[in-house]
Amino acid sequence: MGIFTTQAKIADRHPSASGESGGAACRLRVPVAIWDGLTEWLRASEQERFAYLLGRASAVDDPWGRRTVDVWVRRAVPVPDQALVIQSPVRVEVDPTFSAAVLQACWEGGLSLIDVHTHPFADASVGFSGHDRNNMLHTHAEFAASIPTDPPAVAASLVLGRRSAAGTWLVPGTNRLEPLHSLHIIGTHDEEIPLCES
Amino acid sequence: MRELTASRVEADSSTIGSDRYDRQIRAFGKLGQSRLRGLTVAIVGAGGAGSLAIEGLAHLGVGRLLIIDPDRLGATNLNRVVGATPTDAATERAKVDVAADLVRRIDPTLPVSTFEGSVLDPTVWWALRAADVIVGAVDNDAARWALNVFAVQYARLYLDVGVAITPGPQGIEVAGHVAAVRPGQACLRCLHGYDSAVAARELQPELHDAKRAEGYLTAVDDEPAPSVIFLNQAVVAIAIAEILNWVAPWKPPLTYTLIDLGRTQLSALDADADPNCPVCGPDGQRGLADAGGHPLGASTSTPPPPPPQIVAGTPDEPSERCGTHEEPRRP
Repeated sequence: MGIFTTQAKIADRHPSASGESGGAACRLRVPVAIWDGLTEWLRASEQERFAYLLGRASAVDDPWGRRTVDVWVRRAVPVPDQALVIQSPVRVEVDPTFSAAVLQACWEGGLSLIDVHTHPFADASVGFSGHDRNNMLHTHAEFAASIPTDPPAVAASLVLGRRSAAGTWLVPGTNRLEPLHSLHIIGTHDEEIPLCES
Repeated sequence: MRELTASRVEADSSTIGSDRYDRQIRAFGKLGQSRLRGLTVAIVGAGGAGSLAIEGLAHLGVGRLLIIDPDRLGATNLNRVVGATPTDAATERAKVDVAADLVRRIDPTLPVSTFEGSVLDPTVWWALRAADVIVGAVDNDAARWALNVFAVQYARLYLDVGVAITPGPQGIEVAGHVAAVRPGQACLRCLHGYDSAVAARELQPELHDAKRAEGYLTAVDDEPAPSVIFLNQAVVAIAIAEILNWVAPWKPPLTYTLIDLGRTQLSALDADADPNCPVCGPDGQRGLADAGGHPLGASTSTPPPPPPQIVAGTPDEPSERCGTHEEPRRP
């Protein structure tokens, strides 16, 4: 797992408590067996790389009035470099036939979808570009329009720098991207990865 | 069943900045304390062991507590239920209310929610989803079964604590255990943490009665078990240390710990998951989250709180490995 010495910090308070995200927060949890291998592969290239994480979601309103969507990642789908129609140190784009197959798998399994790409030029701090944001709004809206919400399923994104990460998700029922509340790597311990402000 | 909210005061980071946790921060750092503050812990069972866990976690500084117990206090609880008074026993107060008062005295800012009900009740079982960590301090295998299914289905850390005082060859045996069920690892069934046959019997009281009538069970089986506070303290200490270790690692994790106070001995055991386990194996509930429904099939009759859109079992996914596609689910 990477060493994070970024400006990012671990959230010490629940965002919904202050009314962000319309009262909803999204927490992403990834088994260490998936995360370590995937991030090592993603960060191994000087070119941007891309992958998908597919997971099961649960949505809960807790007794303190907080609404949380918890996504437990079950598998990773690294996108081979050959399946990228654009790949450079500053840009990546997946072949639409490949992403359509992933979307189909989500539809069939009722799975949440998290796309992950790298910014090899970013080190201790990373964030989504304007191009990323436009793209996320488009693809996440497409996900929301095509995937049944029973069981709950959400779309989210991660961007990885060399030693940093940022995350966002599309709040269900809106066209608003909000920061992920937290990212946890789960193994023998629960390690929280600090997220940069996205 | 009813829900009582002891406190809705939001915990905030200013508490961490105070001197309250100074001695802990010196050991485990501010990050460790902050991670504890982010945890919601459910304690299922607020009796002898459960009340000690509640007390310990309130002192330690976890973020929120969810306390679950269906029982009311009696005079025989006063030797070991922390915070209980003779008045509580005389008035047969709910154990969850006694526990909430205990927390209030330790930290009035710590948000607590209580459920006076059984974890076998679907509403209570669904409520566990608000917790990051579950402590099971229960005295029956049906509850252990339900908690184990929950932990496997929702990928939560689940710590089961148990104690037993039994006659031995050289006097009495005073022993206990702490079993840790972690996401993706051996479940409580694989750890032999409960007896499926006993759990099934407890889930079907008529079966229990039939067995008694046939002489398979004796009156001794229904006798209250002996219990002392010092054994509970020893066992709960191990469990609380494991919760801290979950978010602020300071030692190798324990899977199954046997505590033998007669021999003053701790034994750390490990176990692999049974590949054919009906709970955590390929045909089990592992990681299904809301799609897995309630283990007693109550997902449609008692839906979870909004936003639900949650029902229907779905096929399981393959193992958690980095790789490409799995066989798609049949539409």
